[in-house]
Amino acid sequence: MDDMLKLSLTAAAQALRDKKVSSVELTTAAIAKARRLDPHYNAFVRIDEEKALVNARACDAELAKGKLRGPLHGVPLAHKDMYYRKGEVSTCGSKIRADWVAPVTAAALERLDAAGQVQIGTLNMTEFAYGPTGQNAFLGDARNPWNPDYITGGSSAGSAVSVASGTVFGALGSDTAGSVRLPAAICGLAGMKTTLGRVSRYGAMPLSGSLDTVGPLTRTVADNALLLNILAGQDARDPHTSADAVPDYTAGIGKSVKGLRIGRPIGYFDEKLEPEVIAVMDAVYAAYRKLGCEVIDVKMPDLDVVNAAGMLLTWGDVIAIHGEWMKTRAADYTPQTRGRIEVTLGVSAQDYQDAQRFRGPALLEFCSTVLSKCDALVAPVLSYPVPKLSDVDVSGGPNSMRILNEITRLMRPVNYLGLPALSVPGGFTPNGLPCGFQVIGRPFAEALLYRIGAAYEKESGLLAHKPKLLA
Amino acid sequence: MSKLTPEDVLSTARRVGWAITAERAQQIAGTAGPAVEKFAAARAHLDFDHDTLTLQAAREITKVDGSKDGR
Repeated sequence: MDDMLKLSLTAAAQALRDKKVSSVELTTAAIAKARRLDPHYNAFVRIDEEKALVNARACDAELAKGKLRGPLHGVPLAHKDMYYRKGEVSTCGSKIRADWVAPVTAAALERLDAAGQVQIGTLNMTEFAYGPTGQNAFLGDARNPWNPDYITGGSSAGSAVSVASGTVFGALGSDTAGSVRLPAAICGLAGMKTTLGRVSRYGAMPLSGSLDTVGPLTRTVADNALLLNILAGQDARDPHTSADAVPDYTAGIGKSVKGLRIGRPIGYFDEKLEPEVIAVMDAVYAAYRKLGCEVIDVKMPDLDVVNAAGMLLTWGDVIAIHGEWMKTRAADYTPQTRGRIEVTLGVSAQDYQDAQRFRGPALLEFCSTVLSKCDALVAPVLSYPVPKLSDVDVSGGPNSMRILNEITRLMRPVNYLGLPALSVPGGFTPNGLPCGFQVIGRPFAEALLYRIGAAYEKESGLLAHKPKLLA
Repeated sequence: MSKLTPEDVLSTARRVGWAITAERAQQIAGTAGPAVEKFAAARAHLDFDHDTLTLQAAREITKVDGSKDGR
């Protein structure tokens, strides 16, 4: 049954509908694999075997009667432990919420439930999602399936590990400054940072209400599009969400990209790149040329100031959200997270408000100077090859901030501007770890980004590469 | 604010009730200061009439119809 877990989400859902496999069989296999791998990779916070099997049995019984809940009928998934489910514990990766029972169910989970998912558990994450390496001193670090000595990326660490290891077919992450795109790129997956307002954040733990977005991680681009079809849409409980119609995000998958203008950034995204990353990016641009795209050099505006604005926004939100606990329960944070939260004391009310006011002008400038010249910008996710766990010190001191700032440098401007960006596997660096790139587009251009990402996925043949697991 | 000092950090810490040492305040000022200073350049793009919801307006101006190939 392990072979069935290697299917794409799209293929597994079809196999279920065709009754080639049952939900109980798939769910049982996923849970067994999760239990087998977890001592090595620490992806799960909790495995909900009993509830998952009850749900899987119900799916099988309904299908036997010809009833289909939706496109995910009976498919086992798992999600970052910050998506609330009413009556169940959501740790948010923290000691503070180790026993906290959620009073509501997240909108994203409601939609996936309605589509027929079987959630088998909740997944490891950076404490309160505040950090990009995926490490968690409270829960223990999740480990990279490609090599457990290396970071997974974060904060959606368990989401990336559980999907890359072939345990589940997809997982929810959240992206405030790269927390979907980084772990996706580092673990060799597709990960969508959605347009701010495309997916409801209701019932998802806030890190920065100004910047938080919900997005899926999957093994294939088509799977990702399938999940966004389900997740996207307006929700009165999240006033940021847009009333704009939700297109079929899978419609463009497989369509030609000939004639599309791919922007290659000159400035900011090409700064501080190490040679291994440059080699992968050169191969990506060459592939798009081969596919008939026009690769155009596009000069970047001042994104250092945009990145700084994004930091100030994050700090202003974090200091408010964590203010009371930092006063009364500071010792219950891990030192790493507490140190990072303390840095938020550097933001003033005026800086925070001005950082909000600057967002519109910054987005208008980015669209007029960059996205008017190309259909999408293709840029690296990380400026250097994936580091080892032992290479990153995230204790909150000046050295850790330098490392953290560089890991998120190519990510945060996209969040600040509220744009969509799809992380796509680009290749491998000589250390054997995946190296991803991001396709950035205009607000609500997710369908185009999927089309562009899928074209490279097919051209590169990278889907054939799987990590060699320890168990 | 265009330059962040340890005194600024301590003042904020006192106001929000967090326990921070003077040494840590100095460290935080050194860590957060570059972003604060860099952001000061953004103020040249702001005028009296910019409110805090400029992003939503800009999103509506710049968005695409996702169902029509997203360009």
